[in-house]
Amino acid sequence: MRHFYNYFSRPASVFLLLLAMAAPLQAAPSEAVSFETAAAGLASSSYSDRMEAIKTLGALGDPRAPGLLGSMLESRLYRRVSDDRLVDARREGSAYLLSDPSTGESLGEAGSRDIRKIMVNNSLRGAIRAVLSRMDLFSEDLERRRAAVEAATGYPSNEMAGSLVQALANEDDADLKAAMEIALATSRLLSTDAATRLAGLETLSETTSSEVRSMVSRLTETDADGEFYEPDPRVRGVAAGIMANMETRMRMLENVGKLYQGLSLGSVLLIAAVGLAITFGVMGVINMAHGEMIMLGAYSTFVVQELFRDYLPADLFYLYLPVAVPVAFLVTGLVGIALERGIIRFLYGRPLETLLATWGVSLVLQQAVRTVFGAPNRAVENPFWMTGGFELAGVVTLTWNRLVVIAFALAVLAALGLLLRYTALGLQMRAVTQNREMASAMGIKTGRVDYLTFGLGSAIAGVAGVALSQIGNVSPNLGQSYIIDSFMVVVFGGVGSLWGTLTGAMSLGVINKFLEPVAGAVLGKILVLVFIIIFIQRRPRGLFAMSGRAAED
Amino acid sequence: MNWQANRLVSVMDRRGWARFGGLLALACLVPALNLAFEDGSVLHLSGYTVTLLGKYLCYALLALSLDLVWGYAGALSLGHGAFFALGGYSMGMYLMRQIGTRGVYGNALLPDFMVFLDWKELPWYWLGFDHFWFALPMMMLVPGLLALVFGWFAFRSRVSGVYFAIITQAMTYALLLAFFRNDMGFGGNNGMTDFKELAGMDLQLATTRAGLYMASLLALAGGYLVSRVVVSSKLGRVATGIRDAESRLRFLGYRVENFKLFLFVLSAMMAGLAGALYVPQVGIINPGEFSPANSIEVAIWVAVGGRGTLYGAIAGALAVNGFKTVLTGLMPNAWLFFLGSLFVVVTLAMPGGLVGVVASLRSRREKRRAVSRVDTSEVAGEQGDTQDG
Amino acid sequence: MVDGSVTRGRVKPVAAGSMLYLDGVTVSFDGFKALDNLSLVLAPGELRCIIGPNGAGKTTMMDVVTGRTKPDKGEVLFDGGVDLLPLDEAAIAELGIGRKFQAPTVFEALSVFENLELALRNDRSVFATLAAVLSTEQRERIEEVLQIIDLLDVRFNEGATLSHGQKQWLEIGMLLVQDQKLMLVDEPAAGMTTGERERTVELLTSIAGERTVAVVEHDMEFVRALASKVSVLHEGRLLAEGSIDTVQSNEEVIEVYLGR
Repeated sequence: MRHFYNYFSRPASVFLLLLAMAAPLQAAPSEAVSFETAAAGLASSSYSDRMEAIKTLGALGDPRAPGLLGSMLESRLYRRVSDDRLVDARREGSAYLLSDPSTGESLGEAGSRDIRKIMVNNSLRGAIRAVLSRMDLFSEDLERRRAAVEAATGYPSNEMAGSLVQALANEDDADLKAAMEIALATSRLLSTDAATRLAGLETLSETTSSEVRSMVSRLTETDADGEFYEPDPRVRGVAAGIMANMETRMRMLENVGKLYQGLSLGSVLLIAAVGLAITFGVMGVINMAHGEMIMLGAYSTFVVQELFRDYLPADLFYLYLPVAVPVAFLVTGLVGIALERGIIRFLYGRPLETLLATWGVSLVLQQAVRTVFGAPNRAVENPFWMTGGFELAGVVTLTWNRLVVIAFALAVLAALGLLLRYTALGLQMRAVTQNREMASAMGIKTGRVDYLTFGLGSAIAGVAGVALSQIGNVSPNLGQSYIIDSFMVVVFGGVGSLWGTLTGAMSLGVINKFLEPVAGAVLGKILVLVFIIIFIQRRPRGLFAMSGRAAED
Repeated sequence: MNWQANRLVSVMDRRGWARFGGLLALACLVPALNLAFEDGSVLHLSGYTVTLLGKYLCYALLALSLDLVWGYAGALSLGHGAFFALGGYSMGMYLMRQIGTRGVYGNALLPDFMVFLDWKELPWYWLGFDHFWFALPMMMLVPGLLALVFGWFAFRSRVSGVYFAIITQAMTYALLLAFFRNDMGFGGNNGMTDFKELAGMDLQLATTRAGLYMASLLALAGGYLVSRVVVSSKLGRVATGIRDAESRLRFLGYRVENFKLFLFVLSAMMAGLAGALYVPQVGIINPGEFSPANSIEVAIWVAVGGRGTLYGAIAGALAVNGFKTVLTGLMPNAWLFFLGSLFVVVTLAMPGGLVGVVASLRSRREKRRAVSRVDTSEVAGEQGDTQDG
Repeated sequence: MVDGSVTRGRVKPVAAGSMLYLDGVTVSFDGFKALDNLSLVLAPGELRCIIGPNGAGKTTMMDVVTGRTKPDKGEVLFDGGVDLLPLDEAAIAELGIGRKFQAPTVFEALSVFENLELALRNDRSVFATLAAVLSTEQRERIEEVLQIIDLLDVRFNEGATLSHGQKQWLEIGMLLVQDQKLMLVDEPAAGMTTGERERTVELLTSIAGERTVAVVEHDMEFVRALASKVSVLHEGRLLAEGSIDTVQSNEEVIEVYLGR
């Protein structure tokens, strides 16, 4: 959205006019001080003169000032001995390259004897920064204004308050206006008038930013001698109330943020595991090459993207993603069918052998992809409608690609549920998994159902690969990072139930994100694994643990 | 006492012992050829080869330990690499302590990586690893303890089959993540390396390398004998029973979980010893050893050799790793294709592994011989036809 | 695990004088009641046939007694009142209850002899098993049983090589060497020839007396030959009890077997 504002150019005259109107508000410099006079003051040998000059330059608001002060901030401001002109000098070998600090116009070379450095220390630098940031409030660039307001919020001062009042009148971006109000309110807290401070607090009561919090919190604290920083008990009371409110709201927002992150992770786990819910959950086949099906899906996306880039006009490029979904579905579905017909069907009833054989397949697929596409990560671009995101109350950022993945995962799950429930293939799948002999006796071609089911599970894994290519790297090892997690989701959620997979994925995602800040990312993951291991102890076989006669030898 | 000695002798028949002794003597030739002949002699075996073969012996012990639980009790552990790595880390900790002030930072109190992380003192779990007498049992007790705790939970709640395989894989994955962390105090990502000496012997010396090879050989031989004693006892038959009909055994009054736990712990200790002997020969231990892929690879060594025979596991480990060395030297990209296909081919076409193939060849030959004996005595004229049929 | 003093502490006097005492046992799977308030008492030394149509709850009853299935409610007491409900399969087996399954499950990779060796009454702990050596008496006992079940000639053959009937016999043999107080025998005659059936009848009647035997069977001729008290189960409940003739003339029983 940033580019949007670049089309608007603000007439500089408005800016200068407003500045002129605002001048009387400033800590009044002696009247009729010209920019030149003030600038000359920078070269003074007296520290206080230089400080005074900086402040005067800030108050004058001359457009030449930022360049001058910027040079000084970086210790590149020199006085030319010949004509006392202030110049920007860069060392080049034994000589200096001179230029005008405001315009950047080159002024030739000079030797070290021809110029004198304008000395600057840290407190001068601080003053320059304050002046510059105040001037930035009037910049034409929205981002600079935003940054200036942000800086102002953290370090309020009376001068800043004046500039903020002017900038506020001049601002037409609503968000930034609100931010300026808050920055202004923080500076009101410094006022000597209790009523002004109270008014400032009122404005701040709705915010949660950490700078504001520390300022409000200061009003409720005591100094080393046990004296309150805030003399007025009324103000202290209001501040304490606001603090309490802020804490609750912060905590709530943080939890909302974690919940969102958890659901976002959960949807990644979900989309990675849905295919497995079919092959492992419904068929009971331990497919260790499931992760590689995801990987193949991601590479299908990459190939489709490259084809679009090479053969189609650029304005159709963003359509590559919707096209990649059916392509990945078909590619991985066919690979899955080949895998089932070629290997897995000979291993039904021998789960450990299936596990080992499919692991072997996963090694071969990885190496094949590595041979064809090379080992390094391949880049898959997010189409424009998946880049960016929006911010929620300054705490949570919801990115579009994550949101799309959440929606996509749920859609795939729903489609699968409908397929299982309402189609002939779904009916046959359920029949075969419940009682193979009976299904066979009723004329269902169990072999066909087997490979179609397995193909479907693989195809869904491929579709997952399309989604995952949008939020992570596409590399031959892509599948490896999801395989253990996927199994955990399916086992945890309960084998053979799509609802179980959904709850399993989402709760694991959320648990993970809530554990992370407490235990750290890696330890959090370990704890989740340990949790699942303990959980499996309780329900060792998920829904496969049929009780009674069905489990009889 | 006496019947125990008898028992030990009776674990193998006369031919078995002869083969065992023959192979052992043959394996002893390796360091002998390295030390007795000068470099350049036709009979000289390079130090590199000795160490390479020593590494294989450690893999063979690891495969043997997996066969004990998978081949006999039917519990496929995909986390045996974790026990191997824990044994290796115990050895690594000891070797780190032996470096003393010879590290980069020359710190007598702390290993280099701790100095680098600005640690002030040795964590409590490093105490004692200065001493070989302490470190040696730890190489087996640490993995044994993990197996005891993990197995107790898993077997008690009757986790078996693929579920057991998956949670053991998750176990080694969790450890992999944990050992990558710097604050665990095991060297994080880089692990431990730059070892100098073991029990006072310089690790670079040919004699030390030969000694490590011999230690690996003896550990493998010892592990084989212990496993043989176990599987030829009634406990071995209970284990076979677990593999074939677990619930039936429960109704006979056996606490299946305790038997599995015993085998799992024993197996983990053997795997730990293998890892401990492996580390000084390769000179490094890092979290990569916990990678789930490593553990699955062990399963394929066992399957290639033939499950439930003990010697099959050893043969499989040696064959696969020997081939790996050759193939990765010739065509590095082909190895994973080969390994992957091996998983598929063995499970589909060679369920008995190499041992099974050899046995079926032999029985076919015997059958043929018996047939031809019948032919020569009774229907001499039609000998050729019968043999073809 | 099963310490005599502990279990004796849990003895319930209601079941005094009985070998097996089931009272109000209810088991349901997903709403389906496999056992519905079943009560059944077996006296020591008794031979009892349990019959009933498919799904009557015979096998579930055995599952409850041997600890495989835990009932929703009801009491299961053994040998004068030992509560079986808190015990697992191994503990119950060790207490003295043996079971032969409907489909014979022998250890296929072990020889017939080894199958019997595993079943032999002995210390079942891990380390005792590791150190176990067969005594002469034990070896003789196994050979004796091998003779009874007519598998002496094939004693070194693997379980997998046996015929269905031989597996049935081996299972019975395993019950015999276990030396249990109570034997639950599920369909012993299935897949046997007429001659083998007769021998099975003979064997079961000879065992009863010193042990308690409960036989689940479908074959009415076989049940009649056993000449014991019969309990008829239907839909998880006890429908009738008495001699085979009384039971066969019972209206309800006739309806259950022939009516629908």
